[in-house]
Amino acid sequence: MRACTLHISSIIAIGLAMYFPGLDIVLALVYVYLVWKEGEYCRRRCSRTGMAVVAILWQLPGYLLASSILLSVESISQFAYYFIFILELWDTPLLPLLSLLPAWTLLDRPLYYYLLFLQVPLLSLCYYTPALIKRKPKSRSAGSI
Amino acid sequence: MLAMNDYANISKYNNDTSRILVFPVVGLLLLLVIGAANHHLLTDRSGSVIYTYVASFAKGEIGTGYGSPTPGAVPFSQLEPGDIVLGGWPNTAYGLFSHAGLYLGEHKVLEGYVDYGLSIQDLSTYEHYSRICLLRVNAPAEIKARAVEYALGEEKKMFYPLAFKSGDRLWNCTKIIWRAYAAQGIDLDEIGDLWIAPESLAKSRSVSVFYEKGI
Repeated sequence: MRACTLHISSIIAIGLAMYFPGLDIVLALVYVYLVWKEGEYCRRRCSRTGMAVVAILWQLPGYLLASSILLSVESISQFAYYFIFILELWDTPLLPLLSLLPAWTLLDRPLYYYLLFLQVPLLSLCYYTPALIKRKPKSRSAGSI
Repeated sequence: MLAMNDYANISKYNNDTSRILVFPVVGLLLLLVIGAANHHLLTDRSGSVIYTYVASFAKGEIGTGYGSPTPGAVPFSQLEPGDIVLGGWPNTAYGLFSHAGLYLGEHKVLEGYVDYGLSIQDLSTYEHYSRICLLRVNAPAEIKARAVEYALGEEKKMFYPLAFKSGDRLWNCTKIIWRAYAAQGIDLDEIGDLWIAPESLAKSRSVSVFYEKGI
């Protein structure tokens, strides 16, 4: 829930920050840092399995959208045409960073197009990575005031 | 008395709580600043994109619209490099037109799509629209050639449907046309909007409509 709140509020904030070019890049970097810290927060409270579940769940809309597009389900509904737009909006927090990449193309599509799909698992990984880092042993020499 | 560990835990708890509030607070501040700087766009008289979109949303229209192609030959052969091609469906959320392209010559237009970025496409993509409008910018041919050159310089850059007019990293189909001409000293936006929609180009006093269908 915390990670979802962070993501959705960052879509709005970073989307608005695009009005001031440059500020959006700063906020995108802040977002990555906060996702990492949220991963650390989760590590203090969850098991590795629990953390993996949270890492998937908070990006679930992204996974659903990306897989719908890749599996070409747009034929089932007219609304499915908008899935790629919605995926890009879902990916808004990191778009300022993607926009800094060179305008390279692969199979006639720009590099950022592929990264829209890759960003979803990368964010899950960013959240989960603190679980892979060895915990520091707790200090026993804490004094009292 | 509190142990050092307790203080550390309280501090950690505060950090954990404040972290979640960073973006809601920043978002609210940005909304206030941008809203205050552009409050004139919230009236129906302004014809702004945001007002049009909110009014359409209330009617259940949320996107680029859709419909059936209407027959009728479009005089694409009359197009000159630098002309603007608009296409639309009846239920488009942000005005009469849903899409815009800058004519490059030889039956090609520069357009913006999520999956192709700013890209050169064949003009035939416009044939299926039920609304079509062909615009000519009132400027000498060399100015239009420079606008085309400017737009081509941004090819393959990122498409973002909600790209503000400011900045040159995020684009949509209309912003690139507006910017290409703005760089030549011709502002195709009459009201100083936050975003620019295809219909804004048609309303500009700097253009002449030389063909329209379905409007």
